[in-house]
Amino acid sequence: MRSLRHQLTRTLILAIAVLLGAGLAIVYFTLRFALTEQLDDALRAKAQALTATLALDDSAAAPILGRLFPRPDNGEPTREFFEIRRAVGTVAACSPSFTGDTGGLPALRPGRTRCWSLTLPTGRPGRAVGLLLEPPPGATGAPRIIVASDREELDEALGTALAAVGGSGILVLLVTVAIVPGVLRRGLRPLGALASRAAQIDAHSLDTRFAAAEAPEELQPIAARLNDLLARLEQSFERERRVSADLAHELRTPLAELRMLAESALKWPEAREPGTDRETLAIAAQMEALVERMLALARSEDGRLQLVRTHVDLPELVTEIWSSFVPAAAARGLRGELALSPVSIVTDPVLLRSILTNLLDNAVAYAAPGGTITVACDSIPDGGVSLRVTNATENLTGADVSRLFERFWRKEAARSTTVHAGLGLALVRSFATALSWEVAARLDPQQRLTIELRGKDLAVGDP
Amino acid sequence: MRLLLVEDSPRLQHSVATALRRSGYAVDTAGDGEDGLWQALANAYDAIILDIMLPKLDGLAVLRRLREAGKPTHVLLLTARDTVPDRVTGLQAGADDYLVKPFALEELLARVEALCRRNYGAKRTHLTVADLTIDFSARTVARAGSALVLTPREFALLEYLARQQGAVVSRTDIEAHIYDEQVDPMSNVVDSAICTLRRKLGAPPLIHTRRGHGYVLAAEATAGIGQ
Repeated sequence: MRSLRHQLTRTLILAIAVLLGAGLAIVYFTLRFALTEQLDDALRAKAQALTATLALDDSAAAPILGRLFPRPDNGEPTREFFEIRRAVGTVAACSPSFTGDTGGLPALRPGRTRCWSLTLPTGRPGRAVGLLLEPPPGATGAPRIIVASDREELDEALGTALAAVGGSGILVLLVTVAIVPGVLRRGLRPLGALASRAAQIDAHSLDTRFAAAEAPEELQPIAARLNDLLARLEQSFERERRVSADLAHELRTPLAELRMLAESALKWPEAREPGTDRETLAIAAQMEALVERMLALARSEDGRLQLVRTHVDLPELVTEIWSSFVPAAAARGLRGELALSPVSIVTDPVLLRSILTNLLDNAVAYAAPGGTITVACDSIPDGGVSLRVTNATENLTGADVSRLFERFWRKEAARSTTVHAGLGLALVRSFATALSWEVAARLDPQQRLTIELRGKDLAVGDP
Repeated sequence: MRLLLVEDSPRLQHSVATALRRSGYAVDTAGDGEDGLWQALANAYDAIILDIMLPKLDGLAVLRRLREAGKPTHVLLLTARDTVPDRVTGLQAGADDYLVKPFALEELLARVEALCRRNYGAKRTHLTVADLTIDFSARTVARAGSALVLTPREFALLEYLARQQGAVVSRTDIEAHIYDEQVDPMSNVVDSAICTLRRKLGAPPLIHTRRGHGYVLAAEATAGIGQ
């Protein structure tokens, strides 16, 4: 597995090695250039000093030459050489066995000095400076002075410098190799801690949160995003757990009823009640309806509903659906009031019918007895349509309104009604979302609950 | 034994009450917490079967108010809530037992019987009076080795008398514990049932009348005198 720390360590050490090598090479070559230039300057100075001897005779020049190029008196080989050649081409003075051509003479230009490396008559490497003077008037050639020196000291100094530079480079590299992994480990510790904490998170520890404020600046956005993600996951898991528990709970009572009926029939076969089969069928239908609604809700929330949009005459649809609720409303002393403006919309009629059915079913079941259920629809200024179902309630609170669309929520937690499982308004919201409609509930001070649907599916050409 | 069943699901309430009645219990029913609490406070039940999620007043509130009112009636919580915290909360609220829906009928009957037995401080499942042997668990009765056939209601009456361990039991107590609200309180159902039971138990008689006091189940005719 790729390790970020190992990769960083390798890259960092390699980069440091290259930079260090390049830096030390620059240092070495600068030093080498400076020392060579220093030697060349010394040779140039001697060459300039020798120009004075050209005007002297041999006896006068000898002391100067002796001072500038003393002979080693301890038997050591000569380290410095010179050659002075007159304009006519004859040698005025020179070191024994040394001529300007020794080791190859480069082209010289009058009035200019030139430096080059060569092999001295002693067989050792040397450095030479050549000076071609301006030719005297009337002369065909120009006087020439060549000064050469053994470069042993220079090479020794350069060797020492190279050893020092190389050694220090290797030392720095070794220290780098030793330190960088530790530094990176320490520097990446917050990232490691974040990863370790993240690795410990599972479905049972979704309440874990990262201390984003304490994290390094670079990790703060990651920690914050992870915290957001965890919060959403926790809510999602909690919702799923609650729904599963609710569904199991919803099924327990009808299952208990079924089991009681079956066991009673087995235990007292002679006392079997005639309505048992009808009861069994009703329980099965209740459980089937519950499962169907849960499936519809799950499909809707997963976005698996196939929408088929057609023109729908909203007042006509509302009137038709309301007519099926009239008997149930009358049984509870409820009166229906339809205030429907002519509105035609393009939407999925099946989902819209289901939404309206659930809304009216809910209103008829839970409206305060003896009241009025008002259903109104009209177009709204922004080119959409608004549909409102309003009814008086008995004991609904503002807190209840915020929970109206939750799955399995009922004002009474009890399951005394076998008709409503607390899924109707959850389906309304889910189907409305599928249609890209908005649904909202509000409770006015007179305890009248209004559930409003707003959509932008107004048919073209309608007001 | 008289029971109160508080259950909001009409179908489950009907089927459980029917099963309990067929098993010899007198059963009163309530469909919400307020009615259940009122009945529990007003009557002397041998046990109460109580749902938790009830309209108007939930089962745990009913239970707490019962205990606050000093009612020691044994309570079996019968609920769809199955988590450990739910069970712990229910038992801590004063319940004596807890049964999760869906449940086996036999288990419900066994638990109710155990609660009723506990009500009379007896853990025995057998009782012998002279040559009469009663098996409370198997719900069988034998006299001098011969099995007797009793209806559930007759067995409940015999069991109730037997549980009093020779003490006189008043007609009012018998009405309160053996007959539910479906029985007309002005009827002579108790006298009639005692008469039938005496006849089925045979001679020598084991159920003796104490005029002005009630009845006693004992081998000796003088038992219970002087209480």
